[in-house]
Parts: sequence; C-alpha cells; structure tokens
Amino acid sequence: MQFMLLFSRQGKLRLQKWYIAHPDKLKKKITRELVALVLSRKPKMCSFLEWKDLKIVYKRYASLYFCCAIEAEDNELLTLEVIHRYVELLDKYFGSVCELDIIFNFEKAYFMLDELLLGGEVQETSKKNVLKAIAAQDLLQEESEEPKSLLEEMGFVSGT
Amino acid sequence: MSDIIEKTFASLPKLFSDGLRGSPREKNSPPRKIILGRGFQSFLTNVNLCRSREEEKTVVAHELKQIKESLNRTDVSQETVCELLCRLVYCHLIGYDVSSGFIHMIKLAQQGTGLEKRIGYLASVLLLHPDHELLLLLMNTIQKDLQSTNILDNCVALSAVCHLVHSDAGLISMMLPLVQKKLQHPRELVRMKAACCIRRFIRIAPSYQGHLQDNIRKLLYDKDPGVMSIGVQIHLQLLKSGVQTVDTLTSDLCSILQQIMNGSLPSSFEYHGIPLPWLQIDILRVLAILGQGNKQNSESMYPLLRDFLVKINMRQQMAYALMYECIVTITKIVPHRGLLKEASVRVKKFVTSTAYVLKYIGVKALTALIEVSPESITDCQMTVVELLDDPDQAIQSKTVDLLYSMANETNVKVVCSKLIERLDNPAGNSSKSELIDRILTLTEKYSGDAVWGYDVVLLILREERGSLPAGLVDRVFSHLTKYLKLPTDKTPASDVVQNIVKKSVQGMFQENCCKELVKIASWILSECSFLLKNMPDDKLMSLLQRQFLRRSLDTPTRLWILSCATSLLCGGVVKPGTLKEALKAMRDALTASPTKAPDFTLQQRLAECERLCGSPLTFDLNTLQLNPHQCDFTLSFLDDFVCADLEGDSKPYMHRNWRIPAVKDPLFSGFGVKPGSESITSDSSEKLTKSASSEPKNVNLRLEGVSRVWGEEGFLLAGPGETHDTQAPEKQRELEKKRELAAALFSGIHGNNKFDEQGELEDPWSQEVPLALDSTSLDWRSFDVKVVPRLDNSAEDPPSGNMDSPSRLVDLSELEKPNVSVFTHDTVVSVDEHETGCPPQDHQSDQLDHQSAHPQCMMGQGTGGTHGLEYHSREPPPLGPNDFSQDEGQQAGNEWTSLYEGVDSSGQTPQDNSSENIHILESGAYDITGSDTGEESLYSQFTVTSDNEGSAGQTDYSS
Repeated sequence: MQFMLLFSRQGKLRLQKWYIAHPDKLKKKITRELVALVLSRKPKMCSFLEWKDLKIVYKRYASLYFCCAIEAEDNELLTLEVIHRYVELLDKYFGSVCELDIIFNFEKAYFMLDELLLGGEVQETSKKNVLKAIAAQDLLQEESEEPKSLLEEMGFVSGT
Repeated sequence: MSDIIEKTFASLPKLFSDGLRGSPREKNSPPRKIILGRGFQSFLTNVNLCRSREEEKTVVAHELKQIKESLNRTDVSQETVCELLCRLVYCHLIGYDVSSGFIHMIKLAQQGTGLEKRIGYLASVLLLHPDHELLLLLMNTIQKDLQSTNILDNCVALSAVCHLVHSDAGLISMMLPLVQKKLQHPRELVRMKAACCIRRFIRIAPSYQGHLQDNIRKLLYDKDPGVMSIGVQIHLQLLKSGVQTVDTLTSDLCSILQQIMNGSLPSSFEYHGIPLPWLQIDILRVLAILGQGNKQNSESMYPLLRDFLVKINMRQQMAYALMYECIVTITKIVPHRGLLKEASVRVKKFVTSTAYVLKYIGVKALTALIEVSPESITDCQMTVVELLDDPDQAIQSKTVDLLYSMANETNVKVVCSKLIERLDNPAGNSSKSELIDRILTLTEKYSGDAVWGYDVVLLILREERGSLPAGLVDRVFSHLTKYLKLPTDKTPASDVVQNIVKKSVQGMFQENCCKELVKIASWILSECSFLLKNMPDDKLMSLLQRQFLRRSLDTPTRLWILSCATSLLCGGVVKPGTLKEALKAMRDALTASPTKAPDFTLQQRLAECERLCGSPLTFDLNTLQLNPHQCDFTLSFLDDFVCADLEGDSKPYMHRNWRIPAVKDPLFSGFGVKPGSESITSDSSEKLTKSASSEPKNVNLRLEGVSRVWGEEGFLLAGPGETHDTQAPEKQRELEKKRELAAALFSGIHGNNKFDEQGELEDPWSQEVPLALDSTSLDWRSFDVKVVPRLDNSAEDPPSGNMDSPSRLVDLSELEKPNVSVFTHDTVVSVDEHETGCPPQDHQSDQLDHQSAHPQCMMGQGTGGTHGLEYHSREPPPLGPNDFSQDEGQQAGNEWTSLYEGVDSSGQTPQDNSSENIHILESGAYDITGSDTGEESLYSQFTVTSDNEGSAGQTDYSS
C-alpha cells in the first residue's frame, strides 16, 4: 500500500498516512486530485479506480471515505477488507465510532493504524491482538487526563 | 489571557448546539480516554467554524504563532507540549507549514515517557520527510529505545524504523543489528514488529537478504501465527526478486495451508469466520511463484488447490478475495485442465455477478485465465460484450485489458477496432499512450494482413494526439520494411505494396493528421516512388507542398517531406520543373511567415533540392543501360569455382523447364494468376493453358465486385455476404449486433462443446467432478483420470473452430453459440437471485447442525452453489430509523451519526441465519477492559496456543 487517506463527504481531509516518501507539495496535489475523483464517483460504481500507475480502492462508511492506493499487482478485494478491519477496530475502540471521534482523537486513530499496518503492509491480522496492544498503551496514560472531556457534552457544528 | 479566550470560544458552540439538538451521544458511549484538552478542541471548533479560506488562514496563523511562543517557553510541561504538537499535526493535515515545531517533536520523543514519547514519535513520523536533516537526531533516540527493556518503547521505536527507512541504505545497516536482536525477543508483538522491519528492509534493499538468511528461515517456523505470516510475506518478497532460501518451501507452505483450512490454528486469528485469510492469500501467492514452470512443485499443489476451491465458504466478502487469489495461482502454475475448468466456472460466476466490485475482479481473473486456457471465455462471451459498454470507466478499462489478452489470428481485427473505438473515448486520457502501444503490438504480432495493419496505424494517427508512445514511427518503419521490397527483381509490386502506397497518398490528403503520419507516408512514398509514375506530378507536389506549409509541423517532419520530394525527383516521378516551382513556393512561404528566427536547416535543404533540380540525377532501374564493354556476360571468372564444385558431388545447373515437375500440375498453374495483371510472361506453355481454360474475352473482365465461387482447391463455401442478407427482423437488430460482435470477437477461441451441451438450469457449481474430496484421500491422479476421457471426447467431436478457413467462415459456425449461452446466463442468474432472496428452510437447519457440531465447519460446508455470487456490499450502516436525510443542511448531524454500527454482525447478510451471528459473537466478542489486567497478561495471549502445542508447535508448521 502506498498511502491511506480518510476524508469527509465535503472533501475535508481527516487522516493521512503515507508509506512512500513524497515531498509535501506532491502529497497535497495527489490528495486534492484523488478527493475530487472519488467524490465524483456515483454510488453504483465499483470501488476500484485506476489512477496513474496506481490502483485506488475506496469505500464510504457513513460520512467518511476511506481511500487506499495500492500497487498494480495487489488484490483489491483484500484492500477493501483491510479498510473494513480498520473500521471494525475503530468501532470497537471508540464504542460506536463517528467522524468526530476521528477528528478529536486522531492520534488514537493513527496508533490503531500503526498496529494494523506497518510500512504499508498488514502487520497484525488478529483483532484481539491489536486491541490488546492499544489497551496496553492506554494504561500508561490514565492518570494525567481528566476522565471525561468536553467532547462528550459538546455539540459540534461543522464548518461547511 | 489566551486561556480565557479559549474558554469563551469553547463554550460558544456548546451553547449553540445544545439548544438545537441536545448532546447527541451522552448515553451509551463507553468511557474513553481523551488525551487532548480543551485548547485543542476549541481550536478545532474555531477552524471548523470558519466560513472562508481567508478566515481559516488568519485563525490558523494566529494559532501557529501562539503554539510557537508557548513551545519556546522553558516552563512548559510535557503534557502541554503533547497537546500543542497535536495542534501542529492538525494544522499540517489541513495544509499549513509547521516546520517551526519540528525540533520539539524530536525533543519530546527523546525526553518523554510513555504516551508523550509516542506522540513525539507520531508527530515526527507524520510530519518529517525521511530525508529531513533533523531525523539524525531522532535516530539516536530510536537506538536508545531499541535497547530499552520497556516493550512499548521497543515497539514504538520499531514502528518508527519501519516508517522512516525509505531508501537510505546507511540507515538500514545502522539499525539492522538492533532489529535482528529483537527477532529473538520472547514477546510476539516485538518479534512481529521486528519482522515487519526486516520485511521493509528487504523490500527496499533485497541485497541484505544474504545477512538475514538464518533469521528469515526461523521466522517461517515461528510458533506465533502472526509472526509466521510475516515470515511468509518475507519469503514472498524474496521469491519476487528471485531468491529462494528454503528448499522445502513448497511442502512446508502446503502443509501450513492445509492446517489453516482444517481450522487448527487459534481462533483469535479468524476474520469473519475465515481463519487467517491474509496468511492464506500470501501462501497462495508464494505457491504461484513456486509452481511457475515447475512441474514437480505444481503437482504437489493440485490436490490442495482443488480442496481449497471446493471448501471455500462463499458467503463472506473475504472469501471472494481468497477465491480470486486461488484462481490467479491456478493460472500461474503449470496448467492442470481440471483445475482450470473449475476456475473458469467460478470466474463466470464473478463476471455475471450484479455487484460491480465482483464484476471488476471477475474480468481481472478472466484476463489471467485466458492466457492459459483461451476456451474458458466462450462461456461468458455475451457478458464480456456487455461489459464493454459498461458505464463504469474502471470496468471498461479492465475489459479492454481482457480484449487485448484474448486477441488471436482470427479476431484480431475486431479486437483492434474495439480498441480504437475506445481510443476515441474522451475519458481516461492517461492510458491512451499505452492503448496505442497495445494496438501496435497486436498489429505486429498478427501481421497476416499488412494493409489492414497499416490501415490501423493511419486510423490512430488520423488526428493529432498528445500522447503517442515513444518510437512509434520507428516501429512502424521496421514493421513495414518487411513488405516494401525494392523491385530489383522483375516481379511487379504486389497488391499489398500498391495498397499501402495508395493509402499513404490518401493519408496525406488529411489536413489535421499527426505529424507522425506525415513522416510515415512520406517515407513510404519515397521508398515506393516507382509506383507513382502514373500520378500527375503537379498534383503530387501540391500535396506535399500543402503538408509542408502546415503550421503545426516541426522541422524534422518537414525534412522528411523534402527528402520525399528529392527521391521522387530521382525516381523520375516528378519533373524538375514542377519540383522547382513547388520549392520556390515553399521557400517564399517560409521567409514570408513571421516566425522569429529563420530555420536554416530547412533553408539549406531547400537550396540543395533546388540545385538538384538543375542537374537531375535520374536513376531508373528499369531503363538502366549498362555498358556492355564493362561486363563479362559469360561469367568466365566463375569457371574455377564451378569446376571445383562439379568435381565434388554437386549437380550441374539445369534450366527450370527441364526439371522434374513439382508437386503441382503445371496445367493449372495459371489459375493462381489474377486475370488482368500483366504477369503473363512469354512462357508458351502457360499461354496455352490460359487460352484453353478460359475464353479470351474473359481475360479482361473486371471482377472486383464479384465474389469468387471457385478457388484453387475447388468450390468455395458460401461467403459471408449471403448470411448477412438473411438477417433477423429490425427489432432484434440490437441484440443481433451484439451477437455478431461476440461471434467475431470470440472466433478462433476454440470452445469446449461440453459446456453448451449441458442442461441450462443445472448449476455448474454443484455438478462438478467429485466435490466430496476430503483432505485425507487426496489423490490428484484419480482426479486426472476423470479428465482424460473428456479430452478425448472433445478431440473426437468435430470442433467448430478448427477450420483453417478465413475468419468469416468461422464466424458463421460460431454464431449459434452465443444464443445458447445467453439463455443459460439469464436463467442461472435469476434462479440464484431467487434463492439468495429467501433461503430454504432445510438449508438453515442443516447449517444449525453443522454449527453446533463444530464451529470450524463453516469453512467446509458452503460450496456456495446455491447462493449465487452476490456481493453483499457492506453499505454504510443505516443511519437510524428516523435519522437525517442526505440533506446538506444536516451535515452536522450526519457527522454524529455512527460511522459503523454493529460491526460484529455487519459481515452477515440480512438473510444469514441467527446461528451464524451467535457463532461470530462467540468467537469475536472481546472484552477490552477484561483483558486490561496488566502488561504481563497482555502479551501472553498465545499462552493457550503454545501450551497446547507446546514444543510441538515448531514441528507442526514444518511437518
């Protein structure tokens, strides 16, 4: 896998993870093009795209698009399952995950992704093990934080 | 001061939204740990509240300034730094420059502990380009953390290594010893991350495998399935670069795959009921490489692959991925007819599926399949034809790939015309160059008809295109050289060459063609100038002149035109006077045009041509008179050689007329000669047969439009024209057209008649060769025996496509086929849909039995036959009963909507029975808090496994 992007239906980037070294400028350009491309797809179309020499696999979960770029010889269906596994993990961790969870706790989402994928390839396929690893990290941070933050009570108005 | 402002800002949206909808998720959301404080949240809120880009810019700029100030303060706590860094990451995400904070990230990674360290690492990995100079500082920290006794520190450092290594070999050699040491770590998690690093190293620099052979071998036999799967991936990577480290790899992997399929690995690695799918796919990929061209290896895989196809449970999306990978493996290894047939049956299910995702994969699989067994496509001809017009670009382009790989001698023209159609399609601009390249390759590969090949080239170049493959002109030249022979011998130029020249002239008439076309055409005209004698030279010159004066042409192309004019002059086709006039016009136009700098190359060339017109060097081979005094017509200088040869055992020369007649009766030799051509030589015997066989007046008949009934071999079968006359009524024209296309496309692919004879309603999945092939009685030979008689049958049957006659004849015989297959498709599909819609009761209870007996038998039971291939796409979860419409005004609400509800049961389709749900819950319900008991228990999740298997675990995988 070359990179993974999460963006909202309004085209706002929520998470980006690059497994290849591109300068920031190029990353921005690729992101812009891909977001426009994926958003213009109709719901009835298939989730795979050929873009330059890459293949784009995307999937929409509620208001979030998960979009991965893979090499030509990779298995597209498998990538869909990786995305699904990631969503499952987020869901398990956050309770019932929503876009705001990812915005406000993006570092958690990144940690989770790092446990699932390392260097662009699947590392841990066992859901249980990933969650255990994350839980172990959480144990270390308990004390310094306020138990329940403003997020729980705060309504959030989207910017667009 | 700033704190007060932040607090006010933070409370605003709360008031606002509480008034509107209350707090949407205060109940039933589990307690979660939030690292980031209010400052971060209010910042996000502010940014999101911005109405315009400018407003956002000012907010972010203000924020960045504040962050920078507070980071530089000395009394700032690590927690605050954490939060500030998260803000930086967010600013970076929405596209701002945050380079001022880089040093603080690295400092935090170095000095922080636990979470702070992680955040420091995370920010560094996300924000720093791997070539950034500050990374050197981070390397120190990584090395220290790798040597730490804290497992979490080890893990985070290993992850960072994995991310930061991109191309730098120095970095790899620096980290390698430490990472290698971690491969022996007692904890699986650390071993796994270290293995991931090794995988990454080998991917970047395969040469390192020499140092790592021992480690790599050990990884493959690790007792933890997770580590082992990464070991398999490393081997896959190595095999791709042509290295095999373990000799017994094939049998080892086969036995591992067998164990997985039997469900003997821990259930925590199951994904929606399928054990270790990722590992299975990796093993299949390795097997594909191992079996490629290796008969022995392939034979040891056949029973396993067959078992795999049969046992796979086709009710999970993951199973489709597995199935696809298995099909690809089958096509890669040494082909086995039975397996290929099984695969083609499954591919057909993919292609005819209603889900786009599966269609796409199906076409891909079919493309792979067709390279080894072309007959497998006969089954889905009509589907493929329909896919060509699919609205989805992605599927279209895959179908084009398919067309390309199924081209053969017979259908290449139709395939090419389809590809050219695709070329004119405005969308998908990026791949046009590749497409043209493919068309050219096809015309070169199947070059039976040179004129057609040239036609295709002209068609491609008909209009100006931006993206042409490099070296196109040279390719066309080298291809055409085979046909254009100079008339050094007395034979007249063949029809082919005449046609090519004619088409070149026609091509030159186009005003907006590619410059490549001009180059090619002028090359041909100059090569075959002798054929243009009959053309009025002033017209020819004005044609060249007009092309020459086109604005869009560059200098090299114009030089081509000039050299064409020169050789026309030398060939005596153009009179010097005409050329001179044309040249003068060209020169005038050149000097008159307001270009910036005069083109000296062109002017020089024009001058040369003009000078040549003054003293034309006409060189005509036909009228060339040699000086008889300089020639030795008796060839006396050869006498010595001839004598020497005759003294050996060579035979003396004999005139053609004296030789023993060849196989063909000379009486009919004249029949091959086309009437009207002037090739009737002075040979008296030929003249005799000519006059005897045909009336003298017939010789001059023009026969172009008349179809030939008699050929050299006898009566020709009915031509294509007659069947086209008896066409179906008007209303069916559409379908008829598609069928014709299908027939044309699939001609030459010799179908297996077996398929067509089968009853239409029978499900091919259920009536295949013995499905009850259990793992204990794996004998591929017995399976092979069953296939052999079938082969014989098909050989005895008069194969419809086996005629060597030209394409049209084959078309006719194949026209019937699509009809049959169309109806089989339709009926099969509708039955499937019906059955998936309402699963029969007995089936359900059957499953229940299986469930209670053994949870693992899910794998074994579903052949998927009764459930058509329907990709139950996991649509986003329903937004709740009375949730928001798709209205844009409610976006805020939408964001609150649960992204994903009920993940555990999500993989299940609505019609799945309840027992399956229970099963999933049993195996998949984890309690995070329950397992939070402490660090020690966290990483010992496999104690059960290792206890059970104990020391046997090691031998288990290898046996």
